[in-house]
Amino acid sequence: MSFLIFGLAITWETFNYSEKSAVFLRGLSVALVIMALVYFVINFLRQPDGVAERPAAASRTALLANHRNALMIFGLVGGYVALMQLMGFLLSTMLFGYIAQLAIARRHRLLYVIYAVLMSASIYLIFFKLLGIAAPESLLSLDQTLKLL
Amino acid sequence: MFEAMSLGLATAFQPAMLLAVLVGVTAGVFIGMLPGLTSTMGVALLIPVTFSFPPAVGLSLLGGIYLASTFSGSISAILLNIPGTPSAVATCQDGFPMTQQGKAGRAIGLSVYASSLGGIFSTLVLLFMAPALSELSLMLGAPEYFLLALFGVTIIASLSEGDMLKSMMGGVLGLIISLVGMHPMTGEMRLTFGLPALYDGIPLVISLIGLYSIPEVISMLNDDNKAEQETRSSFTGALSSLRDVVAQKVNLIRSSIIGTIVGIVPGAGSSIASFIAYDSAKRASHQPQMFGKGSEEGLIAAESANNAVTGGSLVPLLTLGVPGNPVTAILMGGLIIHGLAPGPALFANTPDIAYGFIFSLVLSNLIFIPIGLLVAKYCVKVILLPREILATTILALAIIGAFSLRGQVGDVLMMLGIGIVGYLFTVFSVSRAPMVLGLVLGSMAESNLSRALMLVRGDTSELILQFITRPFSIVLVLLCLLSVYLGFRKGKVARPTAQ
Repeated sequence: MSFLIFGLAITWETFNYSEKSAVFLRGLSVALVIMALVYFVINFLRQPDGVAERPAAASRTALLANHRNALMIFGLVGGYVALMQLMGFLLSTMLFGYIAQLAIARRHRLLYVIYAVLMSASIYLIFFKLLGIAAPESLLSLDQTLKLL
Repeated sequence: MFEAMSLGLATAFQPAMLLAVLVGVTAGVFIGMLPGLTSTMGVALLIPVTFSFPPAVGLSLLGGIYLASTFSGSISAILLNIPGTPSAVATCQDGFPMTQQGKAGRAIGLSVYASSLGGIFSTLVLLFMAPALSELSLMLGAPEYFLLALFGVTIIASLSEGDMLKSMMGGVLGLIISLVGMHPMTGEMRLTFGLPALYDGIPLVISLIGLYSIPEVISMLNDDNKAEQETRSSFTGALSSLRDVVAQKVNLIRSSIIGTIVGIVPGAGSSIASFIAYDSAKRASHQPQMFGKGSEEGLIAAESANNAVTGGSLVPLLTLGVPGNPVTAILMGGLIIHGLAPGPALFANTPDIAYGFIFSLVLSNLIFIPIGLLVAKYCVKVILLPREILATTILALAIIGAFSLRGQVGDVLMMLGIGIVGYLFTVFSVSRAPMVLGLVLGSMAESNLSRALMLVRGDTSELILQFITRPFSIVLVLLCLLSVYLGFRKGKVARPTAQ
């Protein structure tokens, strides 16, 4: 169903572009819509009563836990990106490293702090010092202070 | 010619050259392993270091980085199901299932030897047949490039595991995502929704990081089985796998030929080569049902092909002065900075440098065997790390890898968006490999179709006529038709079995 909706939306969007720019994209989106419809019909025909089987309670619980973990990861990454622009790479990575480990398991809090510091420092040294990649700009940046030093 | 070659051989064995190869290969192994750092980035980052070196030494160092990073993308692909470089995506298909079966060491061994032999094969082709093959790259035009991309698309059906229709939809989604940004001919913005970060499209590396690392981290959180971790971290059978790679000589040679030819074609690249070789190996195999479940044939095909691209891609650069991919474009810059002109004059005026560089590539292909095995032996222990540490490290590397590509925070959000798509794919059991193939081929197909149409002034019938009259086009059209036919036949055979 998601493929069908996505395909229809893209097909609709292609009418905003010139013919030359849209032809290949439209061909693909129409192909996606057709395939999604065929898939929908095949699955409908496979189930005589037209009702999808409900998953067992155990697998439903596992699926819910999976979704919860996924939301946590998406939130952590989003939060890290926001923090990076505010606090700079080093501080935000340390904080992210600690919070992420704590969110996944709550076993060795002190170890998590040490690992977060070590990980941030290693990545900083490899990517920004050794390879010379420009560190992300931020409002309160320890990285820029370190560079000045 | 043989006098020039012996001069090159003597140059390649000079202590400074050997040291450069060793340093280049070691750096390349580490660069390729880290998600987000590609061969292109590795060569580009280290090119300033070579300015003060003699030309042959500098080139050998860069060559070592190129070869070793192309190989080492497979280490994280095999151990964590996260390809370090785009060329290692096909390796995930069978490499990671082997790790799950407790054969990580063997998978890495097969990967190292197959990569090395594939690389040596293509370097020998470069050494002896470069001038003849360079003509081939000149004979291919926009219609052939479009048909090559189309041929790649037809492989999607073969790559699909489980529901073929779902995989094909994933492939088409990849093709659509690859078209985000500016149209190659008209310059019109498409699917950017007014966001400047999307104007240049979604880079393949960012898509790969999101598509593989985020879903793998999520699945890691649901899976806290210590005994399984122990099984996965076993590193036995790595050294003895050379015999098994050599035993598959037909697969090895076929995949190396595919890799070399795709490498010669400008713009194609190692990910396409590994997918084509993987597909060919699957079709030729007596056990196609094992592909995607830990097939050694699949792993050998993908790995030998992606490293064979390295030698192939240097054919047009060294003989014609035409770079076929971003890495060779940077290498060309390196040659020019050292006062050398790529092309026929390179072999005529400076044979010691030209042949010395080629022989150093053979040495690099040999040296990364012990270095790759040694690094992988310690990397395999990564699996034993507590999941909170491993997951956090992967996430941090993925985020920094995505950021470092263009230095834009928007790229990290893009990576997250693709990561959500990857997660939904795993929830609904849609294979990710066809989507990657779509991402690789989409813009290549569109830009060459537009170019081909422009050459015939938009006359579609004239373009179709070109497809069936140009010799290489005919071969590619036949290959496309054969691939589609075999894909449908596979579907028909699979259906009764499934029922």
